[in-house]
Amino acid sequence: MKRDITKRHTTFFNSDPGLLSERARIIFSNPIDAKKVAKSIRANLRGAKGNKEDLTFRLTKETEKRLLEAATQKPWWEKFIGKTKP
Amino acid sequence: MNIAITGLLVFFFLIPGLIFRKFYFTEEFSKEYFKQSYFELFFEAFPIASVLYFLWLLLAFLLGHNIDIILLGKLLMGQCQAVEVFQHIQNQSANIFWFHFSLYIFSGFSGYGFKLMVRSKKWDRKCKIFRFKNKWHYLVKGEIYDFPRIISPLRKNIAKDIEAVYVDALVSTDEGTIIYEGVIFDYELSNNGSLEYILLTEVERRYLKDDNYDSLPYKIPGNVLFIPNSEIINLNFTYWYFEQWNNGKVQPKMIG
Repeated sequence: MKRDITKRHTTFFNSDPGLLSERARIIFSNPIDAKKVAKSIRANLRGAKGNKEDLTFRLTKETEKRLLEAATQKPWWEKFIGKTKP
Repeated sequence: MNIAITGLLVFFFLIPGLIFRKFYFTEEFSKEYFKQSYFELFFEAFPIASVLYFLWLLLAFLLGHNIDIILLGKLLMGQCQAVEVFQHIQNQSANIFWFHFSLYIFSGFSGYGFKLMVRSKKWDRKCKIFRFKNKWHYLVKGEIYDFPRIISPLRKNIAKDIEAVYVDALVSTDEGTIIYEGVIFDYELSNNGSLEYILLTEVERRYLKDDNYDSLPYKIPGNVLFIPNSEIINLNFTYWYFEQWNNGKVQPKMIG
């Protein structure tokens, strides 16, 4: 089952989610992708005046792999109490 | 009435309330713990300590322990011999120790647990009485849009959708006013609750007089840029999420 790493849900055991989502944290931890995101955000802010090619970006293979690993990683509590229903 | 003993007893009585508060105001809200005066501290800790003592006395009673409240009252009023009291304390020292030790542990856990509940149930966003005084937390994380008094085109409960926060910081320098823009990495509060500094990453800067998107900004090399609050004139926050397309491309989208 895939975990949702795109949301910053506030839960009992994670009452203060960070400033970045888990996905954004992984993307920003790669310097190449961090630059691409910042460039893309700026292009989207500028809208029609910006460079259209910068509106989107492609993640590096390493980041895509890390995102997939994070999304399929089991929650920590499953190690102790077994698999929980989705 | 012996004022010194009474003062000492009142202090001992307040300890569970103080421990509860210490663990309630943790992490991003820890600065609030130090902000209050002794008077406010007393009035906040007193009802909490009363509830905790009541629960523990009830539990002790249910477990078959007899607690001599009358003796405590006599001590407070100065109507008994100190020898009598100290004899009693000596006889019951193990029970008194475990009673207070367990109560202090419970106070810490209940304070922290209550904070987790307030945050997870979003009571602090919905109800002012539970709101922490860290207004920057609510602003930076987009939780401010869940406040009942806020009327905004942004829908409620956007905080969970925000993946990154982009900031334009207008900063005053000797050479003129500069706009720094980048993704917010972290921030810190000062002891009086105002912003101490912000940390930005992937930062670009441009002069305010050249402020149009056609002018080329200067890309600041480095991992993190520290901007102290004393230099900041104003801040503009934009909240972003990332949309992943089927062809593998990602597009940042502004929330709102």
